[in-house]
Amino acid sequence: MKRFLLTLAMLSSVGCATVEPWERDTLSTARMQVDVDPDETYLVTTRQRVREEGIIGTSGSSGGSSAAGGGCGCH
Amino acid sequence: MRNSSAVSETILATLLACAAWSSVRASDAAAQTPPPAFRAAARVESYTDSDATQVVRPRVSLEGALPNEWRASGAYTADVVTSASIDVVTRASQVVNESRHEGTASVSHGTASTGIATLGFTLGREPDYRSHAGVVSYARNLDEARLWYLVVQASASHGRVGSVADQAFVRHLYTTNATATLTRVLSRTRVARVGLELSNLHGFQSSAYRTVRMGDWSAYRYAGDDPDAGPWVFVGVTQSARERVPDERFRGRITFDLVQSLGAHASISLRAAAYADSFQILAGEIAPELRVEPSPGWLLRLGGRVYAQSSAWFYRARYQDTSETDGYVTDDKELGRMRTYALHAAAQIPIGPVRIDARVEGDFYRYPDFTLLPHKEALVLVLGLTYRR
Repeated sequence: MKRFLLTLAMLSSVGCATVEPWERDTLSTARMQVDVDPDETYLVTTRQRVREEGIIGTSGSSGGSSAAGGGCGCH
Repeated sequence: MRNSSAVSETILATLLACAAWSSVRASDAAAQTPPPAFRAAARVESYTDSDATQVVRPRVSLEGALPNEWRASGAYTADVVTSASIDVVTRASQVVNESRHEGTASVSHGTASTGIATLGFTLGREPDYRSHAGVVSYARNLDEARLWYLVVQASASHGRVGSVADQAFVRHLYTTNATATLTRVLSRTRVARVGLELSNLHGFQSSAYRTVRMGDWSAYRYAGDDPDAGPWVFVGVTQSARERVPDERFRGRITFDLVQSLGAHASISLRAAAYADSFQILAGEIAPELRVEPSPGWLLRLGGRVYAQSSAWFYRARYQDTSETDGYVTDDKELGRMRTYALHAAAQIPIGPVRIDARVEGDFYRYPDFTLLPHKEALVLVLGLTYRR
């Protein structure tokens, strides 16, 4: 257990030098944000994920039932 | 009219509303940059694909600081769809016009150092579907050096699924979700984030409209002049059955993001993600992006994305009968094998106190098991304005 914790501590510190507050100018720039724009992230991610992973799999689709419209499932 | 899928979208919207904010906060926290006192944004996304579908999605969002470390945010998004997609015309031989409306509101309290607690709520509405979702989240720096930033979230939603063809048709779907993201400042030029998302969907996850053709059928395009005929003619259909998919679905997703500075004005980001669920769909994606910041406020981006997924265990290109998959049948191409390739370019251009946001994206979808639409291509444009002080 002690060896495991030591290994974990070593792994977590690999490449992780201490970054002082006055060294964080680059981190605060727009290009360093993980998500650059929350509104774009929302639009892009929802569009991707309703088309993939079968999330939209519950929507209406082909089959020849109702003629009254409904159940697009087309985007 | 995406029925129960919209539950997923509603809860996704709620989570993203808080997660996007939290992720911005993560970098702000690391850099000790205070969040904006006020931020207002408007976006319009236009989607057009080769399957005769157009979608316009306007979105507005507001966020502001209140006294005593309180903050509030809200957003409204609409989907306005016009489609003669293969998914529509094989069923109804008509163009579908529909709209969906969604509102999200959240309040939060605290700072990154002391912990930020957030409570959010989302309402979604369309002609045959209503949903509501709630989310709670907590985020904070884990160390005094502000190298670690943790966000945990839990949410639940309920959806009432109806049918425009049958007013008596009512079904329910319940969704629960838990998400955790951990952001790590690796150096003064490198940031990484890992995320884990687990969710459960319980209830009606089939379509109220869709039926599935059985037998070794084939199809060809109708060439006659009968206005009541559909655009496709099917041959060899032995029977049809209402779509039925399992009522229980567990989903898991792991994401990894890395942003590395490249000199004084550029950086590169990389996202990798893996997904699995109890429908036995396995998926993965990778998305690199090059970013250039020629001067403060300006940001130019060029990126790509590759996504691939396997099919659900009960998905078949052709069913002979319902017994071969324990009674579960579907004709949903997004439950089959698929691949997506995408390229995008984006720009942020400051003009006085306002920023112009623009994005153009080309998407290439491949459905190797879906006979009627083996591929489609889409063009997506996003234009927007952001005010921040």
